[in-house]
Amino acid sequence: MKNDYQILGIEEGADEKEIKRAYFKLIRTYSPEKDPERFQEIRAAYERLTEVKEDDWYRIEMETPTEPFAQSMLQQIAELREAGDYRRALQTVEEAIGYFGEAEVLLFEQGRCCKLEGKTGKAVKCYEKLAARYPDKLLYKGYLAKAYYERGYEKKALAAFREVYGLGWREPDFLICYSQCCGYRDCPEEGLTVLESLESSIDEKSKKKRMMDLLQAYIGMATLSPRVPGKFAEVAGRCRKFLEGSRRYLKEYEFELQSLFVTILMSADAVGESKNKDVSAIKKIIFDIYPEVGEMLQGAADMLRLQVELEDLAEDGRISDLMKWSLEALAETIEKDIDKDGYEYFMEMDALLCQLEEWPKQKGDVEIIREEYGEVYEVFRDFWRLLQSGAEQRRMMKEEMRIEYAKLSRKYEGGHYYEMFPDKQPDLEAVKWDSQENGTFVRDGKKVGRNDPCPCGSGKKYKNCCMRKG
Amino acid sequence: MDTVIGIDLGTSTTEAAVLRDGKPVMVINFDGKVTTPSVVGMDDTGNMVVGEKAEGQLLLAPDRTVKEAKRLMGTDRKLPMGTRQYSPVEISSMILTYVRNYAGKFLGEDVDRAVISVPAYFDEIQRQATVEAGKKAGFTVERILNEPTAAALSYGISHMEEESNILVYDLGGGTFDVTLLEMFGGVLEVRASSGDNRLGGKDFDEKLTEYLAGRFKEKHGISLEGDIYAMARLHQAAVECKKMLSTQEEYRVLLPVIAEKEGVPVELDETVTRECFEGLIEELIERTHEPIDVVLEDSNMAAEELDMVLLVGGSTRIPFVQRDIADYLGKEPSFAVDPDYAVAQGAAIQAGIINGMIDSEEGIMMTDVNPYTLGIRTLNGYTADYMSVIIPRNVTIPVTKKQTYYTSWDGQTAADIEVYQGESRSVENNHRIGMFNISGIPSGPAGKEQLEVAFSYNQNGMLNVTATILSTKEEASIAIDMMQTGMEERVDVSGWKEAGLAEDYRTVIRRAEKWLKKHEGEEEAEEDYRELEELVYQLKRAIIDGDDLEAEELEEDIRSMI
Ligand SMILES: Nc1ncnc2c1ncn2[C@@H]1O[C@H](COP(=O)(O)OP(=O)(O)OP(=O)(O)O)[C@@H](O)[C@H]1O
Ligand SMILES: [Mg+2]
Repeated sequence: MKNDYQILGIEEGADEKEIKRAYFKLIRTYSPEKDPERFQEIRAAYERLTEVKEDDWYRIEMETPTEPFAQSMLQQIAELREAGDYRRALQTVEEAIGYFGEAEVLLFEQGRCCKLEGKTGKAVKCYEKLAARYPDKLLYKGYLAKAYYERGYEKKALAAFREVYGLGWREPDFLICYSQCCGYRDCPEEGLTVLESLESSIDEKSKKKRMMDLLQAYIGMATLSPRVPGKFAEVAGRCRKFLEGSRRYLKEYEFELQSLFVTILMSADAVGESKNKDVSAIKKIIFDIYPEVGEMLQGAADMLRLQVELEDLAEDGRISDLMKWSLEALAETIEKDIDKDGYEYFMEMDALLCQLEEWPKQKGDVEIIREEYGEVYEVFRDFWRLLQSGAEQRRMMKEEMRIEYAKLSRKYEGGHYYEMFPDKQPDLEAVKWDSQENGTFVRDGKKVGRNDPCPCGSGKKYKNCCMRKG
Repeated sequence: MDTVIGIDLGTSTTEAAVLRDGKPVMVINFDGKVTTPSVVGMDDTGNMVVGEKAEGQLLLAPDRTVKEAKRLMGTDRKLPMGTRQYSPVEISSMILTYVRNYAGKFLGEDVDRAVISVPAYFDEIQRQATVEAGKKAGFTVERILNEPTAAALSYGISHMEEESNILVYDLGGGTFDVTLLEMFGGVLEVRASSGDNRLGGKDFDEKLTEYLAGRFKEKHGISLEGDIYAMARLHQAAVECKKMLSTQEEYRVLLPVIAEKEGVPVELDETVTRECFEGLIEELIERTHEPIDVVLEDSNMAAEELDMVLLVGGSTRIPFVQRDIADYLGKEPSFAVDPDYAVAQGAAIQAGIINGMIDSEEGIMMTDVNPYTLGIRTLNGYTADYMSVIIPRNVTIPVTKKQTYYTSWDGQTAADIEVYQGESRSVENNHRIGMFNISGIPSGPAGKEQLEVAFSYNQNGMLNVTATILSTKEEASIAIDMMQTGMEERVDVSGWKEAGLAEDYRTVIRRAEKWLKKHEGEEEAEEDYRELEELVYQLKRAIIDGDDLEAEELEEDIRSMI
């Protein structure tokens, strides 16, 4: 069989111009009209020779068994792998190893398939063999480092990453894993240097084809930057410049942009740079590209920020437990259409009632929150206002809520109110329901608690499953 | 040598050209002009008129005149003209017949072979409709050529030595097309095509007409909307205004007696500035950006790598359009080809390539791409309507590609191969162009048996699909000929009452139509509605054809439904 150069009638390794000239000359003779078969053959060779090889890193010569049967098995393995059937691909590789021994190409395929199948331990074994057997091939060392990292051997991985990096290996995925590993091993500065080397290896011309790598690099930088003093502003500036210059190509990378955006906002918060002008510029660019998604992203970022603050708050010894779980319950109701008959509403009532009963003991909590947990304070504005209303008003609110609460408590468990204030629990039999409403409170079966398994059978806790959807 | 004519069948204007001594020559029509308005009308004696005459009666008889039929090609919309309804294909074929006649006179010989250009972004149905129109006009349609490619050919033929990347920006009367081509060694290679086949000068006209009607209503409290005569005049004035604003800063629209108020004539007098007009069309112009991005992306090219931006189509005369392109691409556009003639000239060049007048070793040649993605429906684990791509859009044709699939459930012995065209990941949003079934798959567990599906698509619009069961080598296939029109032309059945059989079926038709009236627009009855509508049509047709047997059967079917 002829190779691509032979099909075009040129010498191996001919440059782009020669390839082009040969192609355009040949298709005059074998035009789509006159010889469509031949045209397609020429065209395919031309495309293969001129295509931008994104996976150039894997294109190395490997020992391959020469038997035709081995060839066809390899083909099958590749097809299975591309079709996403890693399990059978791996089976086929192992079968092939049974016939032809651990030929280089087969070991390599085995490693790849193991990794894809999630068998990280076995993948480590494969690459260890390859790296030992072919010490000159950096590809295997690089893969081995990544395999260690994926297996969770972070210490070993970091040493391996450093070694291979030192030898000059710069495969994009390798660099990204390396930088993440740096994050875990507490050397963010090193991670940033690694990502910068990735960033600078991509020039203007190949930018478009390497968009994914670039976005990954910026996400990584944005993640690490708050941990290196003074670094965030610089990274934000670079990121902005990048986004400005690549606007036209960004539309297809919705997912990556989302995570970049959220990461930047979180990091900006962490270093107290939320007002940074590059951050605002980045926000604007992303909103321009996705007018619909922009708001959603902003919302997602706010939510995340809130989550982080709530987590910190949960650890804060100065804040009362009552405040902690109340806020947790209230957070469940943010930006949702709350069903007046649902569990979230019940828990919201529960928190409000307890808070109202206890007020003003929590005044100190509110002070700390206002001072130190800005986002939380922002989000629960109405709640603070409610607490600080006049005594008479509070009393009336309590009265009203108690009725609602009593109704709902027949349906749900997990409330604190009657535990904390047993005397407030009404004699259920004595409560008169109006007949129409009464009908809606028929309880079928057991009450579902917040932490019970969800009745839908998903195996998740109720609070993490249907309760959210409900 | 047999003459093959190149025709640019445009939304607003039509032109034709032929190759003479290796150069395209424009064909002159009966009015002594190159450009023929794409307008068809019925004059007051009941005769069909095409072109300038038809355009001339637009104002007097808008109900007997049809324009812009191209926008409706491939739909089953009907265009009323006089007492009858016409399909867009019929209207287009009248224009083409007219071209055939004047070309015959101009050239002194009958021409019956043609290359007809269509917007690159026309889909298969629209292309088929165009072929159908050509056939009805008595042409053998040798090739359907993409308009921007044609424009590039007309540029390329006099720039054979150049090595350049050319972006053709074609904004015409009804469609927007953008195509990126590479010129090298006298070969024009289309790298990518995209566009919007519902965007053009017509939309600008409508925006401006709407604006003028709105202003008039504000000032005088009179709505012109229902008055087709007034609207026709207003529309014409808007077109005039739009064109004038391409060369001057403002234009005064003056229509003396456009309406009446308490018996007193009211005039429309409105001065439109260029700025105001630009504000009206800004949003529409913005829609050109995405297709530009797509072609750059698909041809792996950055805007900076473009050597030339060629403007084609009447609407590129608008200064705002030129400015927008320059801003968006960072490159001044070029006027190297005649925006009105380039497409027809290119079609004539392609005709010359086909009939051998252009030497294939020495002269210009071209390769083209398929503008839409082709694939099949598959199960992907989440949905059953996943579009599995076999030939991606914008690959050079002819092309053959294959993909292997696995059986989806235990004991599966047959598979439906449904062929789709379109860009969505869900076939529901794409267009089904064919289907066949392959059976005889050996029964086994899911995923055991493999099916190889091969697509082969060529420049004549022929798509061959073959499915092979790999373990048994058994095959099934289908040939989808995009040039072979499978569409059945709807005939006008409004005269059924005059036919001899009418008396026998009058009652059933009346009842069926009553049913239709009652259930019109009801969602639950939608399917029945469509079925009954079709049956009634078929029955009327049978009545006209005098086919009693068929009519009887149809009557029974209809009765069972109402
Ligand atoms: N000077 C001008 N300024 C603005 N628009 C113009 C001018 N001259 C012509 N046009 C517009 O250009 C359009 C016609 O262009 P053209 O003849 O290229 O389109 P077409 O080939 O008929 O349509 P298509 O290619 O979309 O099917 C009409 O909408 C017309 O109003
Ligand atoms: Mg045109």
